[in-house]
Amino acid sequence: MREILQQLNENADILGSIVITPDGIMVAAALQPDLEEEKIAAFTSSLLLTLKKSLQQLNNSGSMSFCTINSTEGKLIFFDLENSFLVLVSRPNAQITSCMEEINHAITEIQNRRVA
Amino acid sequence: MIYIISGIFTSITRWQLRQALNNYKKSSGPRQSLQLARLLMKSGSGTQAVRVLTLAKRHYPEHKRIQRAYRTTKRQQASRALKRVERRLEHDRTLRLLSKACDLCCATQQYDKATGFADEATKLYPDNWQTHFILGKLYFQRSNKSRSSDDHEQAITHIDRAYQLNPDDYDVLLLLAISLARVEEYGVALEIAGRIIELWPEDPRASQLVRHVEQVRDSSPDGPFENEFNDVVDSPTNQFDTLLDQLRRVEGQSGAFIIDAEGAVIRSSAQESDNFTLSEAQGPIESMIRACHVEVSRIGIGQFQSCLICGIDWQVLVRSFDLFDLVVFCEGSHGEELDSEISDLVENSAIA
Repeated sequence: MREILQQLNENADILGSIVITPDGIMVAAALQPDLEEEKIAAFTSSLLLTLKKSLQQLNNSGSMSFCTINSTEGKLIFFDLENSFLVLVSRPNAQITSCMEEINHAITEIQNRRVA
Repeated sequence: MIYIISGIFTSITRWQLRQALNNYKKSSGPRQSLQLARLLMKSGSGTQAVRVLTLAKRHYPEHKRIQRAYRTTKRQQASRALKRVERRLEHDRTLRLLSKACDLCCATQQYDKATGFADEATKLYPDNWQTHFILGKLYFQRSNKSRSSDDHEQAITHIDRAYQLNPDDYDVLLLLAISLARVEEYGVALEIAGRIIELWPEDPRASQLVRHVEQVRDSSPDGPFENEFNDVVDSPTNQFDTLLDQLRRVEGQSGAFIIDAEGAVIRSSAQESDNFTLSEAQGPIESMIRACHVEVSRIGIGQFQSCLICGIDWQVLVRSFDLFDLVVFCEGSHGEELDSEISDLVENSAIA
């Protein structure tokens, strides 16, 4: 799975990617050395769970397709893979729409790998 | 020679700032927050400094040094903003700018200068509710400092006149209720606070005020509102209402919530939505905001700016601004455009 992520990082020009379980355990990661895998896994899952729980409390029954977080020094993009999340780390203000094809391809491969 | 020295100082500050930012990324504790805020101010990024201290204030509400640094930084920011407003006033002497200048003078405790702006507003716009409100706020602020009962009486006279001319303005009603409670006119103060709750049922400040007035009325200690409501005049709440009106024009928008620096929902507007029940959204929204600020700062990618959550036919945007956060619910799919649309709208509004 790490190879899929590395390929995605190269094709979509992103700084790093990681697959985590909803309880914050890292499944696979291809991140730059200055990004700590476990820290990202723990805090992103905590954030995602709070966001999902809050939306459920607002009676939102639809599933989240993706979520982007912009901050002063970077951007995080989350994709809900049902039993896990794909998290991408990119530069601030990067447009993800231009590389959706590569991302969707990686998501399919990850899902196939997880089913297998 | 001066250029060389100033160049060396700039390089040192930049290096220190980088170090402080790295320390803050590792742990956003009180010491790291204070250090980063101080260096941000030094390098001219006052807005970022206020943001760091606002976040620190949320995490460490009892920390005295953070409270003090927050107040000092806000005062320095007000001083810079006053200079900008004064420059604009050279060409444009509107009531809005005069009011802003007067507020900023009060925030920097330059009451004589504030009086000058208020006098000018009186000359140019006599018997206008905003003019009376400017004067009311000025006397109210001055009485906080001077403890003069004359100032307080003047404040009530002008705020009451503003109320006669515009009985539905949130800020006027709130300040009038507080001013009256201070002179132990509890009955009228409660009546006015009741009117605020009637007009803005979700506003937490009015219910807080009612509870406080009732408590003070029943126990009658001296100086009932010394700390809790003194900063009320700093709040640009009527501009929040205007902003909510503007946000209603965003296509597919089904709800908007404004959250103050303390993390509480202070304004909201919610319409019928196929995807959300927004009638009792306060708790979940406050959790979302808290999680966005706290978790993003822990991840180590700087300060939180915005979060866009997308479903198949809905979107939720959480956006952080200097003085407040905003949560907007939308039907349909705007993609990442929604963030820039909302940001532009806020940045072009009076609140900016």
